[in-house]
Amino acid sequence: MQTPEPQQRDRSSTATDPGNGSGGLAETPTPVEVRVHADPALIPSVRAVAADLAARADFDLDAVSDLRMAVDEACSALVPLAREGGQLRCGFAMSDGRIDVICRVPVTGDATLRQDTFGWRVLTTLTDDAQVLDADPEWLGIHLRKQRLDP
Amino acid sequence: MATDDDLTAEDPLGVDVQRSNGASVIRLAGEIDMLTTPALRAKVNEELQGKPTVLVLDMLSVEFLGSSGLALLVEALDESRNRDVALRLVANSRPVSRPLQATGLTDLFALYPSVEAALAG
Repeated sequence: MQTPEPQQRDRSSTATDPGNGSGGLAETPTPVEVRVHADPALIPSVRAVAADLAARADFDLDAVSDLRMAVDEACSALVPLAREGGQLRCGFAMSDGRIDVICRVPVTGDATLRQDTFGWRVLTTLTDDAQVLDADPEWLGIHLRKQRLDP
Repeated sequence: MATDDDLTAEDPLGVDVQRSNGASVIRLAGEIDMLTTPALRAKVNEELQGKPTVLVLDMLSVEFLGSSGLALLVEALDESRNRDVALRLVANSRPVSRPLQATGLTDLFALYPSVEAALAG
């Protein structure tokens, strides 16, 4: 399966079809991707990128804060589940006044993401859509969508 | 003057406690997330165990409040009621007020714009 060059990709199709690429969840092409060691100490950098992208996409300050918090929560939920030495990968796609975020980590067989936690409730409250991506046996992810509020 | 210099990369959350006349003020500066919450929880519990009349959490210099920090605030509120301590938050900026508002927690807490106002009640 070939991965198209970033500039050739239709950004909106990237955003509408996240995590379902034929390359599996590990390689999910987006215009912006941050890869860090799955280490809690590096989550502040990832959430800072999320906030920066939202601000540049003209999200209002409350929405920027919401996305920063949602991405923090997604990363905080995933990092403890990551395989030893694994990477946290967060891809960002901006289109049509919304941002799609796909965060994922490599996992071993039985890792599951609990959705009965306070953190997950916060995450769904702060975003327009939040889905667990668990179709790939080797990677576990979360897809977030935040819509810009246009007057 | 440059209080930001106190925050090093190794210590992303500054915690400073002052006690006087039965009141404890915990001044927080920096980011409250899964990394910094455990140390803060220990500090808050320590103050609650001292059973001050008032426990003020000064969050004016907090730059980020994640869900682990929100959960800690709710825990602290429950525990303060168990111990008959008046828990008061000082917050007037978006990094704290927005997470509280977005998660519907604002009304649970006694919020004040300054430490002086919180101590006065």
